[in-house]
Amino acid sequence: MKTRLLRIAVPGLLLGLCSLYFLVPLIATGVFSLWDGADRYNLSAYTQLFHDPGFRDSLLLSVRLAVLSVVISLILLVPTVYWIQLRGKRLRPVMEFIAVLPFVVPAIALVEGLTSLYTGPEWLVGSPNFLIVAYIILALPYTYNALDVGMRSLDIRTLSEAAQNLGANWPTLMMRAILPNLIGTLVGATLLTFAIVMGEFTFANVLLFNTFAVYINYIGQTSGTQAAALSLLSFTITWLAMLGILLTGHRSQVQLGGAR
Amino acid sequence: MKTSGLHIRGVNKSFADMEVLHSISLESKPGEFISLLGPSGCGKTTLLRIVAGFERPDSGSILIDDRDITLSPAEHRNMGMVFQAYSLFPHLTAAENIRFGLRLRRTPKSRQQSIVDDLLALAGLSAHRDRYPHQLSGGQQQRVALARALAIQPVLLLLDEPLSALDAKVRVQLREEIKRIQRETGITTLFVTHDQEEALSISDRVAVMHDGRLVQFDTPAKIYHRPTDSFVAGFIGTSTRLEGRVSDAHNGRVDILGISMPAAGVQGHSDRARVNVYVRPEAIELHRADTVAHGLEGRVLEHTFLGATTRVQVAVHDCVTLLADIQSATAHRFPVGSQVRAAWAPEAPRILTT
Repeated sequence: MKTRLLRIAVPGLLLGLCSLYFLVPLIATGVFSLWDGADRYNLSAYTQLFHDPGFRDSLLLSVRLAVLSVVISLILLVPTVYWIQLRGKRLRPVMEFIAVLPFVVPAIALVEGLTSLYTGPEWLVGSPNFLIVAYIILALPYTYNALDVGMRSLDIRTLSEAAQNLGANWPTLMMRAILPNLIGTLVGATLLTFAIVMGEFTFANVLLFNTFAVYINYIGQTSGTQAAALSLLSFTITWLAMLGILLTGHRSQVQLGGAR
Repeated sequence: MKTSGLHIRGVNKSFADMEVLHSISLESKPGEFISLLGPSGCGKTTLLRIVAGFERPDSGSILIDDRDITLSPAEHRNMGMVFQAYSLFPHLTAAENIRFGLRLRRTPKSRQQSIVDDLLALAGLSAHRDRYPHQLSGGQQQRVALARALAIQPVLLLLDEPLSALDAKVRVQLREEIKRIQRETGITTLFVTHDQEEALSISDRVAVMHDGRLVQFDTPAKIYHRPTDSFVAGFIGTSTRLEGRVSDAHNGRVDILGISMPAAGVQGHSDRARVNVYVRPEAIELHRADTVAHGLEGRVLEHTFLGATTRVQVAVHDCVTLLADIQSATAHRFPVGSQVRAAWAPEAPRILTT
């Protein structure tokens, strides 16, 4: 009886402590974001934020950059990972090495490297669009690994040959035979990239572009309650992304054939 | 269904420095069921993949009804293929898998529907049309794959060891279904297998491959009874190989371990020529040594009960082990350790030059 009680109590206690560790700061931030001086609590911090054009502009800029980063990185990486799976397995270690580089090289060094390396038209280098290059590199470890794991769980070669044999050319077999089986993987890669771009600060700050993360930092220096409200909003975006990954991961998990 | 003839002409293929196919030539008649049979690594799957268009031959050509398709890509060849691995698209139901090729060909929807219905019925899977691959057994999945391959009305049906992942009972059932469907549709079929029983039981002709070479291409009966190559004689079925020397070619006699034995097949060989004599276990008759004076004398080493028959191992001169299948009811007459004589009819052994 005592052992059984311990078996339930110990994990429960640990779970409770962990929950407290994560929840207390969030609740405190939430409460603080509602504080309006003395003992007044209302939504004024949120109202002011939503009326600030800087908030809307920075949020829209970050969303646009995130969407473009997602689209371009998937366009680049899906065929690459597919090709590596199908014909270039010897190149996988090289690709894996490249994919971990953003973890190893500090963000500030990446910015410096990028600005020295990339020269080009004004619409790219002189605009926030330049950040897309950096964000694709930054999200590479997550995007690559998500796609690699997803494609490894399929018998890419057999499915591709089966589709080809039935008359599908390369674009058709990708669109009708391979990608529909990778929906969960693609959504996962998309949301991870989205969350990374929405929260990225160093690149945008150094390159002097006013993204959502830079705006949060600016507000943090000028208004404590609005900064708390923004932090919660930022958290919410990340949580929604994570929730999306979990849900699509469960719902669209490919179940391969095999004897029942 | 339109039937087409396949003509493989002098195909060679190497991977890196390894030559996997040496000058393979093979011709099928329209509607014929041909098996490519051989041990692992003999090149049979590579040959099938070349026919399918997934590999290019280094030299040689592939013709369908005298039309050279060697350089045409796989998606333009209109061949149906069933793979060894489960190859159904996991996101599509059984019916949608079968419809896949028809949709690519923009077949009218009503026609698609009737083809899918017919093929599901042919494969005995009408009740499973809306099931996803993971809801089907291995055998059902391969039947859907077969139906999917047939849906496009291919010029050729290619089967790449489609039964190898299935358990023994399902394998036998499905191979009979494959043969029935092939007979009903009349489609020319190329079937790759390493299982000789499978190949011999369902094929019109069998192409036996060894080390990238086509060593014999003939009917199952001829492959079994009249192998023209020592590899085929050893690979197909069970037989005992005995070394001999032709003693009287005219009268069909061969000396084996100093004993003159009948062998009609030596006619045409020169006297004193060294030959290999292959004898099937079922062709050997055993007699107790004290009852007859002819035949190879030996000692019974072991009995293996096979049901109606018992396989007896006989050590001849303690240097060759002869296998003989006898009726189980008579096995008690030849106990382990007893002396026996083995004999056979003159036409039973297959003679091949060494």
